[in-house]
Amino acid sequence: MIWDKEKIKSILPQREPFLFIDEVIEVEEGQRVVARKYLDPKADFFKGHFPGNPVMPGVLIAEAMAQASIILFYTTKPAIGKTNPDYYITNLNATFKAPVYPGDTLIIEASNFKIVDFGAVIDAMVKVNDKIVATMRGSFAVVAKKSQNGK
Amino acid sequence: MTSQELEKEMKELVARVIGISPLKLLPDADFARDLDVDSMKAIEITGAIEKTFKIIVPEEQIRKIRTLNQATTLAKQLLNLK
Repeated sequence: MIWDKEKIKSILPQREPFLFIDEVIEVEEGQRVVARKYLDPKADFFKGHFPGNPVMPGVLIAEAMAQASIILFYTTKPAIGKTNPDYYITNLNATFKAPVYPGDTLIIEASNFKIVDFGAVIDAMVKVNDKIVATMRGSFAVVAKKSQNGK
Repeated sequence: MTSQELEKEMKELVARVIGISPLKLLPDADFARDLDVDSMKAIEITGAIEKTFKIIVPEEQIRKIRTLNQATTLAKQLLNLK
């Protein structure tokens, strides 16, 4: 394990129950990160999606890829990442290839397509048991956080 | 690669990323005003150019490039093509 949850929380603004990275297991700074997320069968979203037939919502799989993408941005632009900017998703083009179930472990890989100071385009994929279950090209803008008084 | 080959490939590449036919991509059409290319799409175009032609586009150039012609001129400079 390279990065534990405390380190991840210092980078990602998301928190439980909307934090979809447990640990970062590989880092090639500026190029690629690989992260892991265990899907607790007790997670709330499984209760409603769907009763008696729990499947992880695709939108949450995309969120996991987006969170890994933010971590990749941080490794590429650490000086900006350390300012805790806001990250705004601007486009997601995701494909879901297989259902994901309670108890599965997601292996989430994010690769640098192009990262600049003010945004990023990332290629990401998710594997379960070495099988690709989702792929995505996503982009997000990186914006300095406004202060509490809006300035 | 010749200059003409680069021009053709650039046109096809940019059109593909924007999602329009190369036939509709005019060399001097303004990316933002005429083609609805925002800053995020500009990053994607830049990434595609870098990977296709194995060049690095200086980050400060991304916001300055407004047309296919300008992008092609920059790619030629980075590839030392005339």
